[in-house]
Amino acid sequence: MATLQLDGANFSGGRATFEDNLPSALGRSARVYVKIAVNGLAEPILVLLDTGAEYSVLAREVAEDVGLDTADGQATTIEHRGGSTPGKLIRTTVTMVADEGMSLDVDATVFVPDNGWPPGRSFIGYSGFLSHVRFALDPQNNDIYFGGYDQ
Amino acid sequence: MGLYRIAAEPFTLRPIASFEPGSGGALRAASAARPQVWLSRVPVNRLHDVVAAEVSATSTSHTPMLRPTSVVHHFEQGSSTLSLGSSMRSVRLPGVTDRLNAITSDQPGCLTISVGGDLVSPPPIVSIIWSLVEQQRLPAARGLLSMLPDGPEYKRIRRLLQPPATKPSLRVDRNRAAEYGWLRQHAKEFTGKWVAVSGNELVAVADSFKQLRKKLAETPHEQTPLLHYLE
Repeated sequence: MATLQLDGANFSGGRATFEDNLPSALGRSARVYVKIAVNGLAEPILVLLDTGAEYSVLAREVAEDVGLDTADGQATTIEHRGGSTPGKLIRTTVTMVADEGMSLDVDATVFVPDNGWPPGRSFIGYSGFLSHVRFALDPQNNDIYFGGYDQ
Repeated sequence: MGLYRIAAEPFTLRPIASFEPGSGGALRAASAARPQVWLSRVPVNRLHDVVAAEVSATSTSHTPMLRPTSVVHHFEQGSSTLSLGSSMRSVRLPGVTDRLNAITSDQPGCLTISVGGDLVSPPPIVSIIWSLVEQQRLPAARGLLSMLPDGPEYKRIRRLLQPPATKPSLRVDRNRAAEYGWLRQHAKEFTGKWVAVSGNELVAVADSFKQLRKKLAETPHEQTPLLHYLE
């Protein structure tokens, strides 16, 4: 079933399986990974879903590969728990890719870090992304349901 | 830069307080008995708006001067007065007009006002917005956008800070449970590597994303693999 309903109305339009049990050298667990797609890249990539992050981050090497590193944006330095990281804010479309039902394009601002960021680490965060996406997790079945507010 | 917290709906106040020139941002208020700052032209439309106001001085000196850097007080609903504390004194500075930059707090029902510390060149609103962005305070930064003047030079900041927008996508993918299974099983073998996995099979592995994409282009594969960096 791709669509959840809330009070008789569609809550979501797409469903995908998420992963929450990947071993990591960092020793952390309970991290939810979802697949996304970015323009210019045929393959989906697996990224963290981080409701505690203000921003979404796209790893620099991925951004470079699809030409986002040279897109019009704003150079800035983001302060975070681990210190601060210089990089660039860029507006782009990130797609939450569905296994079933409708995928969702999210026109969002993402942060592309310069060097000094853990390699390969990308995530979708809250205020600039998830705050405008309806989503629900079914942890027993590892399903994420998602959709826009105009579903 | 001092911080003042306000919890009030739209208000318009009369200015009678100011910075003292050269005081490094010290703010002087009007009454020794009840120090106050009165704000004018405060376009508060919503509690979470970020506002700017001008503060002018109409009073003369008392001592000591008030340094607002550690002051946080609450504005009661409907009140027109921002109390600065009973231990503070006030001075009068006739004819001086300064700028006060006011920023809403993240707490519902409250505004946090920051007082620019430089009388000559108060921080431009764009600088304040980017400062909030750097501090990962996106809602507050967005709240300031309404204060920007019209003009093409602000097009980029408006676009970057506008809320995300969604629309259904025609892009489709298949269930990746098999790929997730492979990643769980082999993650530790490929720590620090980019991998491309399709079904239960590793299609390509590389040290960098660029190398991975190059290998993928050279490696025949029937179905689109899933890409991931194993930390």
